[in-house]
Amino acid sequence: MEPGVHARTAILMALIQGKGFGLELIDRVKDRTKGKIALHQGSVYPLLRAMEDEGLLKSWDDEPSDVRAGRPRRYYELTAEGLRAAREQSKTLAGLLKFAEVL
Amino acid sequence: MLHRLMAAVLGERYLVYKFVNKHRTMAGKGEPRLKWREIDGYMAMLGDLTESKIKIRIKDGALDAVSVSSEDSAAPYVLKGFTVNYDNVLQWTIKKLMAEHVMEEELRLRIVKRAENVFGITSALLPPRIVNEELGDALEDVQSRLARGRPHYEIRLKIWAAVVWAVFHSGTYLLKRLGKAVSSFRRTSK
Repeated sequence: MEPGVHARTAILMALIQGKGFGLELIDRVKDRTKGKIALHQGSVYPLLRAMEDEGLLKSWDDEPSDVRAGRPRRYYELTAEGLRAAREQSKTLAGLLKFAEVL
Repeated sequence: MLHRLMAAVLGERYLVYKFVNKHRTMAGKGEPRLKWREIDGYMAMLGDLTESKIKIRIKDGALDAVSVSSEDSAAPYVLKGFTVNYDNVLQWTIKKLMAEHVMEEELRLRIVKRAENVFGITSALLPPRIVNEELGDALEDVQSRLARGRPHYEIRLKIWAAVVWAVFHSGTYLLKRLGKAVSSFRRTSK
């Protein structure tokens, strides 16, 4: 659990914008929330792999790059099921926000 | 036209800025703006030198010692072969900027090299999936932090944190794989 929001939800929301690799997703969440939600490397990678096992994400290796000493980036993308789950989470969050606005 | 106007209004300070800005690839991105105060300081020093308020000593072609005198009458202590003028002060500035840049660049390369070595040794023991993903990302992160000028202790910490997490995640990853293999073996043997 990340502070304030479930890491799984944050990853789903970050991947709605399009494919991304671990470090990029951490930065994407940080940028979009202006640093209020910080995902940690300790939890992100196992979670990405778990979500892939659950069929929410698919992943593939990119071309090896010099910046990474010849190691390829591992990109993730939402599957149809993942996209459904992301939309569902998005609706739930929007509902919560509406509730907060009423108060 | 604009350059001429700026040079006429701002004088030699603008020329120094232009010179350093032209060589910004040597000094690093954004460096000239950051170094402007320092250049300004050198220009002020040039003024003080000509007004004989500063004593300097040059050794082996480099500025060796500087002392400031409150007495207006004190003559600057200038060694043989050195003339206090705009070009010389400019040279000190550029040399200093370049030396700093070279030192920073060497340190940056040393840290990246160390990270590559540490990750290289770790890579030999861990599954390729974890190595490529986590240690690759960590190396990219290290380079990005260095480029953003983050403190070196933070980067070293990041390197070791990445190794610790990669080892831990490899353990859980392998256990999970083993669990899957055992359960599928049991299913097939039934």
